[in-house]
Formats: sequence, structure tokens, C-alpha cells
Amino acid sequence: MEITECEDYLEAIINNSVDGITPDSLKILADALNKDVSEIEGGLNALRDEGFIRISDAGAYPEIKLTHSGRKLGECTIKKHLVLESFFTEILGMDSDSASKEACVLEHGASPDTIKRLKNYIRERGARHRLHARNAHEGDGDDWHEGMGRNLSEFDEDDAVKILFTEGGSRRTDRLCDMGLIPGETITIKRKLSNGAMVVAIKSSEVGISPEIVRLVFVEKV
Amino acid sequence: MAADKTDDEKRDKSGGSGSGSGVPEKSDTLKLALIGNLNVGKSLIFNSLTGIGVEISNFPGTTVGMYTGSLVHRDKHYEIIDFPGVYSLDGVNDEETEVRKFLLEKKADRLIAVLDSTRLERNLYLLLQIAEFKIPTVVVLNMTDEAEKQGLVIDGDKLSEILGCPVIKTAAVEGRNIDKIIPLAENGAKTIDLVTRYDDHIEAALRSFSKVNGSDRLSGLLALEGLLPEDNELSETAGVIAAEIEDQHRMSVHQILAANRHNEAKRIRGLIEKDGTFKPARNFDRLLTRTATGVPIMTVVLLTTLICVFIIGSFLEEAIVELFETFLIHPMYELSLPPLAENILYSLLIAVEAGLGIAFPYVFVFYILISVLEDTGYMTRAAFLADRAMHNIGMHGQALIPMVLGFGCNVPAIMAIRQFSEREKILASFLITMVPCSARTVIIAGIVFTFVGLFAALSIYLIVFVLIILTGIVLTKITPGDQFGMILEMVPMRKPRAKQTLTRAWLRMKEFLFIAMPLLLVSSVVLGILQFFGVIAAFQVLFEGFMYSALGLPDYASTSLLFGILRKEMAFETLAILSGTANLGAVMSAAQLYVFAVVSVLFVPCVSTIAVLYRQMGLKISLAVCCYTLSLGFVTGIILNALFNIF
Repeated sequence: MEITECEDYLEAIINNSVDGITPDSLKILADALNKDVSEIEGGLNALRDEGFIRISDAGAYPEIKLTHSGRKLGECTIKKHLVLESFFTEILGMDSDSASKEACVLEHGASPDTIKRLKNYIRERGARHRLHARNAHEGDGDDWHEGMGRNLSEFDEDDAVKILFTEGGSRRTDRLCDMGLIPGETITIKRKLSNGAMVVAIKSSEVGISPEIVRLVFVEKV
Repeated sequence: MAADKTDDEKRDKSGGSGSGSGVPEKSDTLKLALIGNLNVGKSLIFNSLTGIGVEISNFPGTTVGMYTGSLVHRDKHYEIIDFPGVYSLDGVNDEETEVRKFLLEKKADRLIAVLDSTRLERNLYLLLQIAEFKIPTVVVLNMTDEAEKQGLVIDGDKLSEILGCPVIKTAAVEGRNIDKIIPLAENGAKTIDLVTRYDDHIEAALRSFSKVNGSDRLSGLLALEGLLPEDNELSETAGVIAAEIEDQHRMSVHQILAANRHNEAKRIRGLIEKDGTFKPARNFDRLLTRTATGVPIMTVVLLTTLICVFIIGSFLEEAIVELFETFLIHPMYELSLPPLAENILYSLLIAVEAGLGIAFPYVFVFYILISVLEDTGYMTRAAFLADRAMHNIGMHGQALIPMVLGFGCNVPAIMAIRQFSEREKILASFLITMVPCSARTVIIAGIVFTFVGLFAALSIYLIVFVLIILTGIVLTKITPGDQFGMILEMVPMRKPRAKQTLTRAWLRMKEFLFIAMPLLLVSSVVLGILQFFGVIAAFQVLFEGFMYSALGLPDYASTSLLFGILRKEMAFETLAILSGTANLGAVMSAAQLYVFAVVSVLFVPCVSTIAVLYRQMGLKISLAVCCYTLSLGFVTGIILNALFNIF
């Protein structure tokens, strides 16, 4: 069996929590895979031969168990599917039905790295997009920049601002989170140097932040 | 005393490896670990509990140095571990990773969580994470004296009730209640009951992990954050779920957890703190962190520190060397021992002399002054200001401190890079070893300034600085790893306390002595023996051609350079001895002296520096640094010699 077909099978098995070969489950899988019921059992046997599942005749119906590699491949495929699907719907504005179909085809060819980048892109875009939508709703104007909140670097000493979100991937801003600079928190700018470095007051302590980190923080004036 | 120490270290090492291989520890030793944010007075509590007799040990398999000390209280033995200060337990930097690993492996029997009463909320944030590790804990609310000054009233009993573990209010600088910590840790410590409730999706995921994988809450959380080993089955399941949660929330799991914990911390603070009005002292800060005033102040402070160290250091060094010469080295020669024994004994004595001659005068004085600057909180302000300049050579503002330390002595400077990221450590290793330390200043002053002139001497500094900057620029391009920006907590300005400052300086000092001294002794004796059997002479002959044709230097210069690695000034002293006159200007030309000075300043750091570098960075990096500086020294020397020949 082709690896892409294996991936489709595994995806269907996990998504539908299939754990045995029953008339019901064969029907479910056939629907999910867009195949005839008669093909499915052969497909499952092929999957077993590839080492992705184990089939045991314990009770009334044979039981299906995913092997380690089967679960890994299946989950990986589902993840790719989800990321691609949300890219199509949220960023490209496709309807969810065709997005799902398209994702089914592309998920087999996309490399993990592509998926990771796509996911980061959706996350950052989405955060701005959501803010934009909210502000537009509140009638704050239609300006895109207005909508995504303003960069912390645009503010001056003694300004009090509320953090909306931080950019740049999580690990970069972990320390900011630990210091208490999380979305929703209000901070006061104590010092701003000509290069953009800042000292901000947060939770009864003061934190020095270098310019490149300041630029990752988006805020709104309180 | 030195013998004592080595025994202790051996014991410590065998104990450490024993625990690694599963051999049970001595059951009567209770292991207590101090844990807390940076600058909460943890080290001071540690020192008050253990006294001066502390060992610094790298725990087996760890890269971060942790201080351990032992203590006997009512006939019971305790081992106390001082963790590096951390802001969280789910981060990925070295300290956080090591502390987390340590806690996960249950290497500590009790935790003493130290909290800064004046910054309660952020400190509670860490405590909420500590609670998840389910280790019996005592909470120490430190700095109550400062909290009182700020008018903060904290209800310790209420906190104890909320957490379900004992809480003590202390003021470490006054020694208030410090004596109650150990008895309470032994008998009263309890695992913290309080469980932080997270976002619904996180909680749902945790429930399903415990059902499917049978995992506990902590492993579930760590798995969601991707902090468990990747081959773990739980991590795989969690990875998929975490991705889903992150997609839904548009926040990383870490951010979601952090927000939940901060909210919980805020809630608890609201319950236990009354009249909390935070009044930051702004008086000095106004001047210190502003470019126009701060940079001049920083320049003055750093220059004054350097000059003080140089004056006091050279005065003390001279005295120590004088004492050695008069009371040990001359008497030794008068014993007229057999030549080999005399040679070895002499090598030992000059090694001790080199060690003490650098250690006490420069390193100790430097440490005291730097400790004062750190304790007052000034250093974080200077680091904040210096960030931009340091950025160009690939480092953060924090790297300013080690770079400045390097002017006194490279050894403490290298020891101070411990808290940096792996990438910064590599950069700093190269750059700091190039900073002209006081010993190299002696060479420049003694050879070039005396026999060639002031401008020639200053030009050597210029050459070195240019090379440092070039090296930094090139290294930032080629060193792997990301350059992260600086996020630095401004330590509150405090009055330094003599005891705290001195103990801190002494701790570091000890570290230097035990790392550098053995190596100095060994290498000095090896050199002595080599010289005795004529190997050095053969070496000199071997390099004679190179020395002369490439560098334009007399043959004995190679021997001087070789001895320079023991202690840099020895290059200069040996040169004077070998050339047969202290008036070097009479036997060597100005160009020769200049080239010799440049080469000996640049080439290979001294043995003590190599020793700490090896300990801090491992074999590969130390070798790379040595090779780089060696070639840099010779190449620069060759170019200069060629230039002098042309003009």
C-alpha cells in the first residue's frame, strides 16, 4: 500500500476512534476514506503488514491496536491536516468543506518544517487579525495598524500601557512571561533610551528590556 | 587547609557519582535545597546557614555550578544546596533546565523556597510551580525588613493556611529568624496542597493524560510544554494536543500557563498582603539609567574600580613576591639541595607565588569591589546602559561585568560568565581571554612604556581592542545559536553590607584558588623538570630559526614566552633573566621589544585562565581559545615584524 494511503487510513482510524473490525467501524472508515466497504478489510490487513497496526482475534470481532509507528504517523498526519485546514479557512478564506478536502491531498506532501512555519504564521497573523476584528467592532477605526495594537516602542516614559500580545515565537518571550509581561497586564514605562531600550515597571519590580525585545511587544494605551 | 579541602572534594565527588549509579546515600544526611528568584537573598541565607566552609561543586552531569555546604545541627548532618536563581521552572535556559532536572530526579529531600516579600507576586509565581513538584517545602518570606519599610503588611499565617506548608518571615541581613529554618525544614516541611487551576483545555488534556497514560499532573504539564524527552509516549500525545490548544488560543502553552499562574499569584497576594503600596525609590535611578548622566557615571565607576584594583593589587603583589623571595626562595637556595630537588622545589614555590601573587592582590580586591557594585544594585543599571554597545560584539549588557573583570584578571571574568546562554559563553570565552589583564599591563608597562615610550604602549592597547572587536564581530557571525535580547530585572538599590560583600568575594576567591592552584603547581613543576633535563633548551634551539626569521626575536624569547603561560608577567621577568640584564633596551631593539610585548600579550592565556576555561566550557572550547590566541599572537607578531623591516 502507498504511504499516502496508509496515512489516510491511520488518520481515519484515530479520528473515529476505531478499535475493532465491526460492520459499523468498516462503514465509518469506508465513509471517511471515500471507499467501498468491501475494500476496507483488505486495506486494514495491508496496514498490518506494513506494521502500523496489530489485529488480534480476541472476542467476537477482531481488535485493532495502533503500533508505535502507526500512532506516530497518524498523529503527524492529523496535525498537518489541521494546520493546512486552518490556513485555508482563516487566512485564505476558503469554506471549510473544500479546505478539508484540499488539506487531505496536501497533507501527504508537506514537510514537518513547512507545517511548523505555516503554524507560526497562522498564529501571529491570527492574533493581529483577531484584535483587528475586535477593535473594528468597537468602532476604533479601520486602520490596520490601529487594529493590531501599537508597538511598545512607540510609547514614551511614564506611559501606562496594556499588553495585547507578543510576537516572535514562544521561547523568545518566555522570560517576559515569567516576569509577568503577559497579555492583559498593565505596565508603566519608567525609562526609554534613545536606542529604544526600556525599563518598565511590572508587578512591583522593574525590568530592563533591550530594543529588539521591546519591538516584539504590542500594547494599547490604558 | 588545602589538604582538608581536597579530601572534602573527593568525598563530594564519590558521593555524587554514588547517587548517580543508584547506591543509596547515607540515610542520616538530609538534603535541603534553597530555591528562589534571583536577588532574593538566597545566597545570604545559604551563607548564614553553612558559614564559610562551603564547597562549590558541579553536580555530576550538570553544567551549572551549584554551591553545596554541609552543616551539623543537633548531631544531625545536613547537606544544603544553593540552586542558581531562577524565574521559572519551565524555561529552557541552563539554570532552569538544571534545577528542573534536579527536582524531577528528587535529589533534594526538602525545599526551602525563598521569597522576596517586597516582590511577592512574581515570587509566588515561582512558588506555584515549585508546588507542582510535590517535594516537602518550607516557605521563607525574606526581606521582611524592607517590606516593613515600604509599609507592606504580609499575613504569613494566612499564606501558610493557603499553601498548607509552614511559612517563616525572615530578614537575612539582620539574621532575623534564620535559625528557625533548619528545624522547620526537618520537622515541619510539607508538600504544598495548593493546586493551580489552569485553562479548561489544559485541565481537560491533563485529565485525559492521567486516564490514558496514567501520568501525574506535573508530567502532563511538562509534556504539554514539550519539556519531557521526545521519545516518551506521553510527549507524543501531548505534542498533538498542545498544538491544538495553541491553535485555539493563539498563545503558546507556556503563555497560557504563565497567565494562569500569574492570576493565581495575584489572587493569593490579594489575600495576604494589606496596604500594599509599592513606592519604588527613584532618586538614583533617574541618573543612573539615563544615557546623558548614566554613561559618564558608568565610565567613572568602572575606571575607578580598575585603577583601585591596579594600585592596591600591584602594591600587594609586590609585597607578596618580596616576602616569597626573602623568606622562601632565598633560604631554599641556601639549603643547597640536590639540583633536581632544588629545581622542583623552586618550581613549586614560584607556582604558589604566582597563584597568590595574582589571587590575593588582584582577584580578591576586584571581587570585593565588584561585589559592592553588585550588592548596591548598580551593576544591573550599568548592564542596561551597556547593552547596545555590547550587542555589536554579540553579547548582552550583562556581559559588561565579566569584560570589566577581565581587566583585573581573566580568571574571575571567565568564572562570571556562568549565567550566560551557551552561545554567549562561547563568544565571551574568546573575547575575555583577549582582554589585557593586569599581568599583561605589567608587560606593556615594563617593556614598552619603559624602553620604547608611552604612545607605543598605548598603541598596543589599541591593537588589542581592535582585535577584540574584530573577533567579536566575526564570532557573532559564525557562532551557532540565536541571539536573544536582554530581559533583565533591575535589582533594587540597596546599601551594601560588609559581611555579605566579603563572604561573596571570599566564596569566589576560593573557587579560584581550588581551580587554578593545582594546575599552576603541576604545570610549573613540569616546566621545571623539562628545563632541568634540557628539553627547554632543545625547544629553544628548535624554535630559534622561527623566532629570528619570523618575529625578529632572539632565541631566548621562546623560553620567556613559554614561561609566560604560568603567569603572564613571567614572560617579562624571564626575558630579563635570560638576556642577563634588566635594562632590556640595551640588548634588544625597540622593534624587538614591541613585537615581544604584542606577542606575549596576545598569545595563549595563562594556565589559571585555561584551567577555569576548561572547567567552565570543556575541552573543545578551551583548546579552540588557546589555538586561536596562539595563532593570533604569532600572526600579529609576524605582520608587525614584517612592517618594521620594511619601514
